[in-house]
Amino acid sequence: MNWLRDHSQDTICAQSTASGEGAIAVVRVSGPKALVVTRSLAAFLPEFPESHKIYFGYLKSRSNQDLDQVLVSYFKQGHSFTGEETLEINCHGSAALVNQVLAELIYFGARAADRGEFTFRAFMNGKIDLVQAESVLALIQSQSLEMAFEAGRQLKGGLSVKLEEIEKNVLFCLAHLEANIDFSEENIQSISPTDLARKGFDIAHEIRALVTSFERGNILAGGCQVAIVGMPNAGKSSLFNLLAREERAIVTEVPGTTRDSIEFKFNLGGRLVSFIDTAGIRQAAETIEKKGIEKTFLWIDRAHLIFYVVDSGLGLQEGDLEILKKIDLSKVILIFNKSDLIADHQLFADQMLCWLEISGIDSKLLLKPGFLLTSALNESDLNVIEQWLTSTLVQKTGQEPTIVQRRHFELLVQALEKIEMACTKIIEGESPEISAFFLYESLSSIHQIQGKSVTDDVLDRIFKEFCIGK
Amino acid sequence: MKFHFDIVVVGAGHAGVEASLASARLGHKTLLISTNLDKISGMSCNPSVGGLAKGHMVRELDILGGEMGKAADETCLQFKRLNSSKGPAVRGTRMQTDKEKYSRRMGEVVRAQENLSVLEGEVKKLELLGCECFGVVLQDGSVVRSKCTIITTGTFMNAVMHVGFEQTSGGRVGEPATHGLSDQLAAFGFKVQRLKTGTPPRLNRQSIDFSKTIEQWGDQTFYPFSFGSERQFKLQQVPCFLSRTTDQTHEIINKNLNKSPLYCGIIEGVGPRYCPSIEDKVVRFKEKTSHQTFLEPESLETDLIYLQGISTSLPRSVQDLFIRTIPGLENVRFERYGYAVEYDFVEPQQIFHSLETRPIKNLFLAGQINGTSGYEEAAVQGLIAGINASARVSHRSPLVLGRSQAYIGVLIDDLVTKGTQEPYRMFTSRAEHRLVLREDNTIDRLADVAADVGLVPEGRQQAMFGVRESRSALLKELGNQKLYPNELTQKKLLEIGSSVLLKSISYKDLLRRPEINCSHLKGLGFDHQSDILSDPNINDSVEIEVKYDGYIKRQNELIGQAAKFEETLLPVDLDYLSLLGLSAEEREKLNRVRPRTLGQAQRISGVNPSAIQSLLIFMRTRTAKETLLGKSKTRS
Repeated sequence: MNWLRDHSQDTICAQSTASGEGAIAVVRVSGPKALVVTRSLAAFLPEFPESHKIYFGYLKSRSNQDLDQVLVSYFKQGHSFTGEETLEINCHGSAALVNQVLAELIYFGARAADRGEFTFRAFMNGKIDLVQAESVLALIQSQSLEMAFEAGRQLKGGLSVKLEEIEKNVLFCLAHLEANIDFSEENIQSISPTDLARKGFDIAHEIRALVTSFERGNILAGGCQVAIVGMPNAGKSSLFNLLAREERAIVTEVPGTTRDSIEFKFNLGGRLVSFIDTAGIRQAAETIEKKGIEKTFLWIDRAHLIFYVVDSGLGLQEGDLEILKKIDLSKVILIFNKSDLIADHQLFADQMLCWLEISGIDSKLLLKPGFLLTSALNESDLNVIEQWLTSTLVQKTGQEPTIVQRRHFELLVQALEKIEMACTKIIEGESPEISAFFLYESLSSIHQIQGKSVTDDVLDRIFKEFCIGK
Repeated sequence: MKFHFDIVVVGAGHAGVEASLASARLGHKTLLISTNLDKISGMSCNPSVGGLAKGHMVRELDILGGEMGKAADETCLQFKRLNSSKGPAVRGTRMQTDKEKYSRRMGEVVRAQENLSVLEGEVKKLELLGCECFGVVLQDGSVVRSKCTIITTGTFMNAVMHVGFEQTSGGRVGEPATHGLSDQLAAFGFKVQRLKTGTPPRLNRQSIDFSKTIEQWGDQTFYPFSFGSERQFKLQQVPCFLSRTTDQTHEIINKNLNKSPLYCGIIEGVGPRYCPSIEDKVVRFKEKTSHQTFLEPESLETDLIYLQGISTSLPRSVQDLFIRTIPGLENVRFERYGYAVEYDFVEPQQIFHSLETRPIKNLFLAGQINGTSGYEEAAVQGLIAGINASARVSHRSPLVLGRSQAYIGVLIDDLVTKGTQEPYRMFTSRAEHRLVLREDNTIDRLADVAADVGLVPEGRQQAMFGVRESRSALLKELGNQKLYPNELTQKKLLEIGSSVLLKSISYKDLLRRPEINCSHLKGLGFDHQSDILSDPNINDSVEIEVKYDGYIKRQNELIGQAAKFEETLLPVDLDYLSLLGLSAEEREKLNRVRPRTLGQAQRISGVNPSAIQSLLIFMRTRTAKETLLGKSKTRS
């Protein structure tokens, strides 16, 4: 069984400026109901706004609370980026606020956009020319490749594993319901409705845990914060850029270039991680840099993890040792950067750890294995760090994966709703095809998160589970 | 010697008979060729027609103008509505039929059919010119020319029967296999593979001690398959008998597995998982110490008893031993031993939805040759092949039923899209739009299609439209008329066992109450023609529409959401291998299946939603390019 849905008529919304903290964030709403949905929050908009005009007012939540003072631009159908009726809400750049605005838009009938969906719609509506089509394709391809890649590297307990488990359990319930329909003459032993409903509620419980992980992990905590700390010019910004896969921090040969902290968030195997590039710590000359360094110490306190970056060419210096003495070492890993400058890595590492001991710093407190060697230049360094981070996060945050994408959150809420419906129908003694109907809807939502098309899994399950044969 | 026909049908099983009748009734000169004209529409295995999801297909076939439903109604020995305690969508009609009478009746219909000739003989090969089929060549070298050819050879192509280690050429006991055709297809480049199926022993009724079994009767109320059949049994109804295998049975089977061709690697074809042999069941489900078996009479005219559930290919000597351990069968006489049969089938991803083959024009395949199993699956394919071969001859576009329209649509789309690795049988769980594909609403779904096809006689067609209109009129009236809470009404409601009204409601809302059905309405003051209200042809379906309204609406919403994809046709010449945004696996699969629509593309296993986006983008690009080209042409 397989349901294919056409989502092209949905009204979608998403933050269209880069995620993370900024002064201003833009939330885009696009689709046939864009105006209707937005007006539910922005009552100040006229019923027939003028295209390309900016309106000013307060956004209000469904409980009539003021959310923010905003500017809303209106683009009529055919005259926007996507070619659909579009509204752009300029609000203040706090992540919590943006999330709340999106939640309200979804409440009033929009849905969270898939990645690249605005561009996709722009193309489908002829707003992007043919040459650009290929880049859209590349985007879609890279998305699926990334998904495959992510799925591949998910450690035990990751999101995809959890989803597979949920999928498997839904299939189990379906197999029992379907066997009772298609093979009712076969004298098979399927589990009782009570047990089936109990199984269903267990699945609902699992899904609910994921749903709440979104609220906990994304809106409140903002994910795991990793501060990149070290002496000036140790290569913190180069490392940050490598992790961010783009030039976000300015890298120069001049020590003390990073005056303020820069943050970058990304999704590592279903977990939200933010890296913070901090100003290098030294006895600074000027006030601006001093302020930056003060902020660094704030981050050292707040961060869940610290990458302490050391220039391998210089080794651990007095300054490093002084700082390390002040930090809670149980959240620190040393990154010996520019390791291409040293010949014997093992010897070097042994020397460094020995020096720590002599200075009265217990290197055993450091996060295992104590240090990583990088040159801050290539992909293999990136893999080393990300692998380390993933396994450390699993240990630190437990086995529970976290939902970070709003679209996933929304689909899980639907899956949850349908599975609870199915359980209710089972308990009420409704005919099995009705309960199955809701379970298929639930399964379809799970499959959408997995980016997967459906196969004959249910029949396969039935044949594995039951002795069937006329 | 040369013959000329519009359409030639090879094989006179359930597919061949429906195909040739459809073609002849549509006015085309048709020839039906079979190696054994005494066995027209023979039931090679179980003596029943219908069942879950299969009953649905028989009704669909009947509305479209097929013959199977009528024949089953007339030869029914026991009637059962399966899943009668469950929801209307998953109830299924099954009839045990008299095999002898069934086959004889079909033979009479075929012989009496205008435009239809029959010929006994073996087809050795197709008459091909390039990639087009112009008829067939018989064993004596004579050629039959035709505009279209339909192959429905069932389990006969290169067929081998197994009983223990003994192998005989043949597709059915006493009937030799046919050779030549599948080798020719394979040589042409078709992917031809092996499947396996099996059948249980046939026993002599006189030698069975029925006192050790449990008698099983059918239902009293008869719901015939065919629209227009009388709701009365034509034949005397008979019981089946339930018995079970014992510890001893399992012991003997386990001890003799080394004599089973299945377990010694002799049989290479894949058998159906839903219909395993008894040796399979004993091996795979060790924890089950007993399996049930039904003793089913095959005919009023013979003493043959079919031993349902005990299909086997163990040697005769072993069958002699283990069958006699089943209570009631201690002294049983075998009329025929169980056997397995292996046969060639053509991988169905090589045919179009019309059932015409992709590689060879004017050649259609239907039935087990496409990897299916079951009389009903075969019959509906035969009908569609007959209709579409006729369409080809008269230059009309082929009939393709949608997945939300009929189980027949699901069957063919599954075969063409996914292919099959085992004999394909229909299940209700294969139909994602199951809630709207019910037995009761077959007329509503297919009366228009039937009128377009033109197989159904005018009078019958009008009667079908009449029923459909009466249903919608009744439905409308139920919404319009209201029931008011007064003393009399409340009293009557309580009498029926329902609850009193708090405010006035429509009769439609009243009918939503589980305890209320159409027969109560008249007494509660509903004003409508009595004969319509009491006609089960009309009120059954209306009641269901009302009671399941919510679910049906939601199902229709889902169908609507998928409609865009089902309606977006993909170009036949699309070069999937060079298309961007697809994985290697997706390219290969799309290229092999060459889906007709975007919806079908999405159903191919291993083709992910991202690939569908890529296809959408490609199609958009293509339209844009064509527009540009069009413009530049007008400019120059």
